[in-house]
Amino acid sequence: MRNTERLKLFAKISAVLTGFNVMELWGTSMMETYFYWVNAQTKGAELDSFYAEFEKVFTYNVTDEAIDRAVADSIMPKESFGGLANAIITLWYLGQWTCGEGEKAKTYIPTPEAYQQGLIWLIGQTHPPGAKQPGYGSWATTPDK
Amino acid sequence: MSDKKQYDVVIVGSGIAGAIIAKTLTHAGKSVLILEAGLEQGMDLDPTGAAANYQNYLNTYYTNPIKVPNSPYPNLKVAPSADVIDIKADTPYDTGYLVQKGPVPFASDNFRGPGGTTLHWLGTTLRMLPNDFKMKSKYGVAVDWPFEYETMKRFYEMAEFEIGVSGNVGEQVLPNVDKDFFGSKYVFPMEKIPQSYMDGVIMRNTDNLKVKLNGSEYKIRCTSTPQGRNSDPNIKYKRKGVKWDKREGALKMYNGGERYEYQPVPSVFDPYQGERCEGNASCVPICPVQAKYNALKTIKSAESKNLTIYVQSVVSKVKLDKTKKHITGIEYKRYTRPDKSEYTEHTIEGEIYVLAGSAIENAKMLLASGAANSSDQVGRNLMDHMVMLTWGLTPEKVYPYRGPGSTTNIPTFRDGVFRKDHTAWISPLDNWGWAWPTGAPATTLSDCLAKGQFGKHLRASIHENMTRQFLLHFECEQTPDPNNRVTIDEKYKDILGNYRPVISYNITDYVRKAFEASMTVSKQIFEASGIKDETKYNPTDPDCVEYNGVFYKFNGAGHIVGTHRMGSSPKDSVVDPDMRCWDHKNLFLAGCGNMPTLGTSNPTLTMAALAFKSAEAILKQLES
Ligand SMILES: Cc1cc2nc3c(=O)[nH]c(=O)nc-3n(C[C@H](O)[C@H](O)[C@H](O)COP(=O)(O)OP(=O)(O)OC[C@H]3O[C@@H](n4cnc5c(N)ncnc54)[C@H](O)[C@@H]3O)c2cc1C
Ligand code: SF4
Repeated sequence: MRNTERLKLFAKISAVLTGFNVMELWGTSMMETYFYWVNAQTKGAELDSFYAEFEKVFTYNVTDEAIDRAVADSIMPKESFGGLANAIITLWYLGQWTCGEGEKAKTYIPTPEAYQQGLIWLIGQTHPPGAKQPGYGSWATTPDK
Repeated sequence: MSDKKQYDVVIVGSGIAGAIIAKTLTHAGKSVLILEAGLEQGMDLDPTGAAANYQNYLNTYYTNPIKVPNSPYPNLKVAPSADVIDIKADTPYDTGYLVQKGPVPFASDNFRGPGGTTLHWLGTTLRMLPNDFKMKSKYGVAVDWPFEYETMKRFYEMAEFEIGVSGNVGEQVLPNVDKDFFGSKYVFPMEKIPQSYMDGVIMRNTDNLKVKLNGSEYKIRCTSTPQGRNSDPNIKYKRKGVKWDKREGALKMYNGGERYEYQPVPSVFDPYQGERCEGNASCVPICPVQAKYNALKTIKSAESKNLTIYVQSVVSKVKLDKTKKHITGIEYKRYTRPDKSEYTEHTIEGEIYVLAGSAIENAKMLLASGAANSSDQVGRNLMDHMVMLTWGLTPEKVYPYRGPGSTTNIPTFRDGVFRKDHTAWISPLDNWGWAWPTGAPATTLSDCLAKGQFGKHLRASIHENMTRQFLLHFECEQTPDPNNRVTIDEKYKDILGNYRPVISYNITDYVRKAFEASMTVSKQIFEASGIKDETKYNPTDPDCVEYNGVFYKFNGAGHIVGTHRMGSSPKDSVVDPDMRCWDHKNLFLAGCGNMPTLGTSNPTLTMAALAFKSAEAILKQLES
């Protein structure tokens, strides 16, 4: 598969995993950074089978519910693809990527933007501490106001 | 090698303590040299250089996966900083900068670099209460200060001006405090920082709540917190500065005219940034716009023609004359590479010397010099606030992770007869969810992932949890204990050959009992608000201590206090009430190390007030 097609697939996968739609994810400006980051950090064979599994999911399932069920069965279990799905969610949510396990684990934030675009802050109806400041006194009302 | 140049006053350290003294003295026409251990670029106050350096701090913060107070700042091998990431449960160990002998590891950090620890402080600026100054005579514990609250009042006003405090005087209803505490007409320079939405929800159920503790009933009060971050100027505030009145031999505040309006001090890198808090919610460890006070602002407003600053200059000792009564110079090591053990040695001379390296470093420098220690109190009585945290989920959404770290506090237990029995505490309401105790929201995510959640379901679970996270502090006063101390040991040195601090530390039952008491209060507050308690302490975690068979975990507050206490007698204190060493007339000590006790207020406002007090004494001495 060519990179441009894979990038499209990566966007679709990311949307299913994060619960944000493809447009919202492109809107963070992190899509390509994360696509290449995941490429570089994941073993080729594992990545190929991860993409292949997702292609299967998208081919055989049409509704969102069916896709979610298939992902839960074949992609999410910890032993599948070395926990790649969770790593991609964490990358989008926190801008972080952890290599290795236990004592040897090392966590990276690839760029300042990765931290600032963390989706978790949107989910909490807030902003990443130290960036995208909402303005004087904003904290005194609900974020819906 | 000896630098020829002479200064009226040589100050070690450019934190708030050193900065206030430098500013006050240079404006009174005295020549001042600051020796600063940190990197040159951190002291660049030219807008372009300062902006570039600060952006560097910010980017380091963004990309550092561990977001602790020192994350944005360089930790130098040539002048290391204490760092909370080095803390381990099992003492003794010497793997961090502090050599921790235990039995309990000291739990706070500081930043050794230009501007010092105010770069990552939170900025809470509470005055100590009148009874805090007389713990011994009032409650039979600890020691009395050599003077009472009244003496401090005018210096507090200077400190509130210099830091730029935002707050509402009328709302400061404090235990055992009368209306003279601030004075009837007093206002802070700026209006109060708005209290958070969450504060409002909690206050609905907590303000005026009656709680029971050890057979007594207390009415809980919630109060807006005065803080050193910019808001809107209070038009009633007319003070314009602090001046040395030579004739009266005193520092005086002076007013602006009728039309005068207080101007919030902006960032050091851009006059149009930081004039008002913008809600970045990252005050600890770094305020991106510098709406929060930091000591570089004070350095920038010193009289520059009278101020010289040597950076990358790490002081190791003060030099004594033969009689040991007089300091004759300060020895420092100048480096060019922060990771290399290469340096040149220098001595610099002045009329008067001030050590303002913060409590632990001051003690270390004195011990290394064999100075100021006829009382055997140097390094002893190391204190901090023990911060016990309790957290839970609120029934309705309170939307944390917004605004300054804390905008409301519960002052109810800051003073009372219970202090005969256990320590007092203050309870700030925390606006940043469970970030401190659990590492949320990262752990909120990992908990959900562990349950196999993803997609829309994951989003919804995190939203439900994150918007309801409530955190309460119980910041318990630690009282002085001579065995809690900083020492030095030939075995432990840094790469420049300077001593590393060796710390012995424990928590007395007087403090531990307050953990038990505050847990009782926490439970009642949570119950009244329908908060589901999620507090969990792991007995194998660092700083988890036992009382009556129950484990309580505390955190350091960053309030490093008490290593060179002030007192009324040279027998049991290091400095006199002007913070001049009893043993050496021309050596002054600045910083929280001077404080005989800590009270329940974050110590920096009090320490800043003390810095003005000793600046006044230094001026008197220079002119006599
Ligand atoms: C996370 C955190 C939050 C805090 N929040 C609050 C708060 O809300 N309210 C409050 O009141 N207090 C708070 N504090 C405490 C406050 O930051 C300190 O009390 C205050 O900054 C200490 O100022 P200082 O000038 O005495 O020392 P520092 O700010 O530590 O400055 C010491 C200076 O001396 C220099 N130095 C040290 N050793 C040498 C040497 N050998 N040679 C040359 N230079 C040297 C250092 O580089 C530095 O510039 C907080 C602290 C922390 C850690
Ligand atoms: S809330 Fe933001 S802008 Fe305000 S002081 Fe804190 S970091 Fe600075």
